[in-house]
Amino acid sequence: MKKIGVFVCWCGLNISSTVDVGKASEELKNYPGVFYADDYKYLCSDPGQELIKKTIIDNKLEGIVVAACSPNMHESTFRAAAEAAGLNPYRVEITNIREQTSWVHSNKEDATIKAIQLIKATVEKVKKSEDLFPQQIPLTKKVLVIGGGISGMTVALEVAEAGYPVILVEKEPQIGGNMAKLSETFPTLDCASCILTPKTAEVGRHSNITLMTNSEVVESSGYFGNFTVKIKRKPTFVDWEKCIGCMLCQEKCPKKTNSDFEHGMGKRKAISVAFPQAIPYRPIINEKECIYFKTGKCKMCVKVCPVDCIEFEQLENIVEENIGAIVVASGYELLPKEKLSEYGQGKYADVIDGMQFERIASASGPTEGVIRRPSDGKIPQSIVFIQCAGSRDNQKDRPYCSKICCMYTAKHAMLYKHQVHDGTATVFYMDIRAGGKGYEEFVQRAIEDDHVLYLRGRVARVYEEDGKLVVLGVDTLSSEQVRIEADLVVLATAVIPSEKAKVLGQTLKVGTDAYGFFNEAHPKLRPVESMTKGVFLAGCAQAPRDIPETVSQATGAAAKVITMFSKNHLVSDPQVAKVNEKICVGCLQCEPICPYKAIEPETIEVRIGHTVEKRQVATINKGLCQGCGACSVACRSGAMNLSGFSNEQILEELKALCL
Amino acid sequence: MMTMTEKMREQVKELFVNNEIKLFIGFEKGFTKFSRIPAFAENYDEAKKMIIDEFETPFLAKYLIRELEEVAAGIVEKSERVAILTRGCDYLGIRRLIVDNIILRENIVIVGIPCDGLIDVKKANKLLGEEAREITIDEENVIAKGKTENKIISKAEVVLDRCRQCIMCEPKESDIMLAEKTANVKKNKDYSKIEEIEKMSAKERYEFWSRQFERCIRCFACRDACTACNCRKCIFDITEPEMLEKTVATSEQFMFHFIRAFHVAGRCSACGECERVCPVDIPLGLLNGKLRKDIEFLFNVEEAGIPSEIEPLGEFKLDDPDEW
Ligand SMILES: Cc1cc2nc3c(=O)[nH]c(=O)nc-3n(C[C@H](O)[C@H](O)[C@H](O)COP(=O)(O)OP(=O)(O)OC[C@H]3O[C@@H](n4cnc5c(N)ncnc54)[C@H](O)[C@@H]3O)c2cc1C
Ligand code: SF4
Ligand code: SF4
Repeated sequence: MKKIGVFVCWCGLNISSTVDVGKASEELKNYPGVFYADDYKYLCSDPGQELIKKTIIDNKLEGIVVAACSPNMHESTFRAAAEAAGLNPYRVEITNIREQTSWVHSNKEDATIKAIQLIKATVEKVKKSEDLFPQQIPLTKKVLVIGGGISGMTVALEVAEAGYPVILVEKEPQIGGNMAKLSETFPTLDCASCILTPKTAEVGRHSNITLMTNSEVVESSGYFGNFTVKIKRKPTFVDWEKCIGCMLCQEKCPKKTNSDFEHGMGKRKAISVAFPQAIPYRPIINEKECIYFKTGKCKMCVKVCPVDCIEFEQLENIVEENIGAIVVASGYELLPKEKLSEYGQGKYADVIDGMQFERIASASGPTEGVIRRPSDGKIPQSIVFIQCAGSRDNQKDRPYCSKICCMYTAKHAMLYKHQVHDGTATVFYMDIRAGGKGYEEFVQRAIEDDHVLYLRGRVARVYEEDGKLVVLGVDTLSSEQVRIEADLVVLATAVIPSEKAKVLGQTLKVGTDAYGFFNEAHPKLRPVESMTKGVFLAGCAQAPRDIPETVSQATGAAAKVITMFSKNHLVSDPQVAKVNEKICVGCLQCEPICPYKAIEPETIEVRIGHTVEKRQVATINKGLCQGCGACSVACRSGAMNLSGFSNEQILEELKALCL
Repeated sequence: MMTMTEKMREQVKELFVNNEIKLFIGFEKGFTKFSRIPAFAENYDEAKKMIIDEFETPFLAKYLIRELEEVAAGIVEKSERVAILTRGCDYLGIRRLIVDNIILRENIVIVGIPCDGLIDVKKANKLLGEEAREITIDEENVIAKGKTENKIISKAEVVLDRCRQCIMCEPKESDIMLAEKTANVKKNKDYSKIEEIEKMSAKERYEFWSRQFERCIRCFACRDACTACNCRKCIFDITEPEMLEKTVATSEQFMFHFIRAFHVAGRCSACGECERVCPVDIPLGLLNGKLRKDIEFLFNVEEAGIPSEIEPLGEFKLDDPDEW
């Protein structure tokens, strides 16, 4: 029989007001195997931990149970204390008598019985505990950043500055993401390009950053510290190494097409660069639009290129990279127009979304910063802005707040009023969410100084009448119907995750929420980590947010990566699966069930009498295994066991509870 | 026309003469007139006693485990292979063993027989009203002769319960096929008994199953007969941890049958052998059927009994519903 110590924590009144801690420790004293039991006001305090250490040493305890708060809170604290006293930390188990007992019950008598039962079960578990030892795993000090928006660039620059190599993968031909499309930025109204381009330029020239634009991650394997990824480099049809960026090709190309960068507000050539400050400043051929690709004739670019770098026959290629950590910064998109038919988006040329407005307000945009409506290029005399278009709307499956629209709508209205002083700007809003430094003041400035009309209420319909757009809505403050004629309607459409986020999540084995935003490991305490070790999150990939918040979060993710790389090897949690080769039949039913692909077949040789027999069994890659336990449930032989949560331990716990 | 038995003998001879197998597994007459038992032949002479007819036979697939080497040993020499008589249901069992990496397909020779359902002599006796002395079987009917009575019974009435719900009348693929055949006896999936039990209140259901499990003598015949039960060491035989107390109590029988049913959940091929071998007639098919029915419904599987490389219950998908 092992010598086990039991410590019951009061957690001040948190536990002791509902659980009779004294009675619990008294009763545990008489429980078989328990050598010592006591209760204490705050076990997590310094004196509390000292008590645990001293008791372990004085009584030569072989295992302890701490009945206190959730193991999520202090398991590591108590395990460290035990380790300092010479006890293997995995011989320490927590009974949660706070979140699972005192906080959820009111009857003290019943709660005490439950607490005692649970502690007894944990004692039984500890009796079956074994010494476990973490393993050292090697580490590749190189990070992969996915997405070249402001968040991805920030991570890349921070990690590169710390001295570690970075691979930045961006699916578009140039970096900058959505911020590159913005005109001016709230709450200071400084020009977006002016603050962005120094960053893009630095990313472009940093010796520690390998930039892979026009590329996507298509496969990922391995585990934290040691991932192997495959990156698909899509063809640009131009040899970027040779190209000198003279853009003669763009100038002479006869084919104009809609520019996706301009969100339909402007045109670009079939061979072109998206915008003048693009990094890398290299053209790409749009295969679908290029005359040569369609008809086999033209080749104007080939004729004018002074360095002969057009390569129509270029193919995509896959590169493989070994890396230690991944940061997902795949950003956002806006809800597609088809989803917002009641506002006539997609039907009327002059109903546009926020990003389209950014383009016509941007100095480098198609109208050179003069706000003109798309249909006829007229300067609008009346603009209606509709907030929460799709956001906070259960019918559009977007019940969440997109967070940035209140602010950019105020910005849009201001930018317009600064240009067209006698024009009217009306904003329909549900309520104004301007939480941020200088944000409320910014909105007030729009209302008071720039006379933007804010109407609280929802818009029912946007339709056309006699060539004019009519916005029909309700002012919920006066309960009156409002009808406004507008030259231009701007919808603050819901922010949604990048189209490819879900697939990316599946490739990287990182979970996404119901909308496709990446899930963080803990909403409060681990907001930049994903549930998969070694994969971190930054920017709008995780949730809608503005630039300052994006940059802070990206810096946090970079710090996580740098901390990880500051060590020479990683230490793995020993609470992983292990196979009992004696009983494993090698059926490998466990293999497809492992979310982390940690299970593989292995052939072992066993002596049976005088003969040596070859057998197939399952083995665990301890680096990949995250200890989720799925395999141990799938294994009907009981050959698969989770160290620290073994079948034996769980069965003993159940017996103590049920018998 | 050659009978299946004759055709089998011819094939067996060829297999042994050409040195293509080390063992042939089939059936021979048992101790009573209509009983059939497994037979093993290591040469042609030994195979002469073997017969094929339509009387109830035990499952053969499970013997492959002990007769063949571990999969890790790889593909064996041709002459080391094992040939086995295989009906559709046997085939599902063999697939189970292959999918579970217990045996390699390359190491066996499947000698297929089409099947219309096996005759349950007990049923025939019951309909006849006495013990049959002679039974003859034709395409559609069974003629049972007793001491006094003679009776022509339609086959459908006397086939084994499991055969009525057969999901595979002949092996889907084979090395040798002994006859061509189309099914005469109508078969359809019948979950009506399970639905009846589903409709019971929890108390009624508990009482129903208590009555069944009380009878269990824990002979483990159901486990031993099952091809899905192919563990190296069954957890019921392991003492540490002890999943089952040795005491005979209804609660322990419940444990035993639940664990057994869950261990074959998603892997049971609906052969019904467990129920057939149970000496105290516990309706194990209802438990297994309920699990198959649920899997078919929940995972949109057409036929849960057919073993597939990846089982509906044995796969991790990122878009699995995660409702908590
Ligand atoms: C109309 C509008 C106006 C705004 N105005 C302001 C403002 O004034 N002030 C402010 O603070 N914020 C503003 N914002 C918010 C701001 O745009 C975001 O906070 C910021 O751009 C988020 O940066 P990001 O890097 O997270 O995402 P993104 O900018 O979306 O960058 C993500 C990048 O990842 C790439 N990518 C996506 N998927 C993949 C993949 N699978 N593989 C490789 N690459 C991928 C994308 O191509 C993109 O380049 C505005 C937003 C909108 C919609
Ligand atoms: S550990 Fe279990 S499930 Fe995995 S191969 Fe072995 S017996 Fe099969
Ligand atoms: S516990 Fe099993 S299923 Fe879970 S990660 Fe480890 S090996 Fe895979």
